[in-house]
Amino acid sequence: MKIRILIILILFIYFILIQGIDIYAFSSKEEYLWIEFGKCMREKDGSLTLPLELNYGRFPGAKQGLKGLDEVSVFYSLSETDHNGKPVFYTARIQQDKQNYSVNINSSKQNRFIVFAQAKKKQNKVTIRYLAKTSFFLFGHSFSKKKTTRIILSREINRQLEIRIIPEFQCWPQTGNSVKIIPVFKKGYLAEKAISLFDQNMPQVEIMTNEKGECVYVPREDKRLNQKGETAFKQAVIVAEEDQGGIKHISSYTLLLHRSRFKNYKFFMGIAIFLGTMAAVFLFVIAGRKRIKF
Amino acid sequence: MTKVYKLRFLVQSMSFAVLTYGGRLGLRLGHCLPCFTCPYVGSCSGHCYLMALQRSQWGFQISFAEAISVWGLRALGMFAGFFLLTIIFSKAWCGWICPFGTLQDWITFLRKKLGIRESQFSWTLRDRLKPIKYILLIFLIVIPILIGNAGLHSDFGLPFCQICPAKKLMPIFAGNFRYFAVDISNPITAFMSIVSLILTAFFFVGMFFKDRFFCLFCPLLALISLFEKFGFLGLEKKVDACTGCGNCQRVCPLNIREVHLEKKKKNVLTQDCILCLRCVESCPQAKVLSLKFFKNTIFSSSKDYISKRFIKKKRENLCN
Repeated sequence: MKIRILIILILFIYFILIQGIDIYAFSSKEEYLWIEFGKCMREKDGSLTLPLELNYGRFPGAKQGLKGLDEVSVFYSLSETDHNGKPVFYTARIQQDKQNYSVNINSSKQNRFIVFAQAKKKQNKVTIRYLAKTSFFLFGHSFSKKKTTRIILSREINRQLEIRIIPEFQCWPQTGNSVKIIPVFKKGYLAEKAISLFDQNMPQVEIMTNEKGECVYVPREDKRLNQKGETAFKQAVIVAEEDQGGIKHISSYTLLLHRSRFKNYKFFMGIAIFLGTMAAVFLFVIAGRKRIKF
Repeated sequence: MTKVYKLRFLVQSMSFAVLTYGGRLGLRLGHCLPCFTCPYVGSCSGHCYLMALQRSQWGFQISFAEAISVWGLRALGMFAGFFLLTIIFSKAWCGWICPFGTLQDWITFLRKKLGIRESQFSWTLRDRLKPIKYILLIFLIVIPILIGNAGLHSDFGLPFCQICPAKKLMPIFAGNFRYFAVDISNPITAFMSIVSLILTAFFFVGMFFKDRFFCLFCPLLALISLFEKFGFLGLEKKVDACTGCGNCQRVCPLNIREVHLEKKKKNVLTQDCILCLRCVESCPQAKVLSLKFFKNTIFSSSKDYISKRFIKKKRENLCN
């Protein structure tokens, strides 16, 4: 009994201290606003609804709802552009359920979406501007076309500090595939800038942009994600900060990741099984044709 | 007179090229083709209906609630497309169009060139094999339903595609050997990919020693058979004029004996028949066997046809 308690105690200390340090030691100092994907729902009319949760705090565990944030708004753009070739933005209505805030993005046809959420906070005479962004595909198949809310001008979105991802749209974003991260501040690139990466199942990492203001991130293989089905996904939030004296900008980008499709493919193992079985079946057939008795 | 075997070879080769590489030219023939035009071939121009049948967009992998919505209607629409194509060409899809069937015929051709005789199955074994394709058909419908409604792990999704030998063999023609790998993402994917490799090896050897070996197990052939009553194409026999020579059974790649043994019924299109018309070509009696499109005869057996073919073959053999 004493040994069991001792083992539990050692494990407890290990998880609290060792694992805990690994995860939180390098955590970003500031809290941020991020968009979190919910489970996509199929509507009866054939359209798809994707609930997106708005959160403030630190991904994945420390959520605070939208407590203390002002002027929270959400906009999304489709793959369409206006007469000047600029993307058209729509407003999304924020729904509140107790401490949870979310928006529902509905698509009646195949569409590419970019979603922005923004908010403001005043803290010790410093204004903090938050921007959260994500992008995704929705493959709706509805005959009816729902009316969308008013079109707004893109200048209403405070995109002074924005995280861009290349490629922005992937049919099947997955672990093992590299993505280029470019933090853009006032249309200029940020060289040697530290970017925090909060993965749902992994410890937080910090990466630096190069002199061109970009960095490459390759999401690591995730055994927990691999155990789930092919359509299962996890999320990673990329966070960048920029202090401009009286105004501070904190932006995030939510990356959706499926398990790697081909990184776990063992070709030589497969070929060995195939050729081995083929040889065995071949010999069996030849033996059968020559009426050899085993 | 058109040589049917030459015409068939031409149609098969063209179908193979169009269905396997047509995608590179922007050709899109949809997701409901009643033949093994494998979606895992990157350059294919159309998809095998079996995949649609197992998927969540157009098939059975939907919840019961979704089944009574537009999603259910989409699945029905896809089935309607399949049904229409099936009744127009019936089993000719298997014997004349299916790229995987063509691959089997090429392997048979190679075996004949090597002078290796075909393996023969006993009638008891053949009768025992017959239900397997229907069992596979049930399996590929039930598993997606269980995923959609009973929480079965989604890595069992597309169950037939996962074990189908075409998934491994057909992408080779587009230069893709990737599916010969074992997917070790988790125990389910590893198990499914190993089973799939073993089955592919088994079928590959089987196809070498036996004509159209995979067709004996093909669930798509079973599905087409379910609707052959509505088909526009038919194989008819003049029962009274048949001398019972047995040529039709001997040349049949699937060793169907019903055409030879049938003494009452006019319609001799059986569930395993792939409408390759080799029985019609080899029948020595005039108009005993005929291929009909509605009531119109397209091709029928004749003494003249068989004698010309026989003389030509004999001449070729003498020259050699």
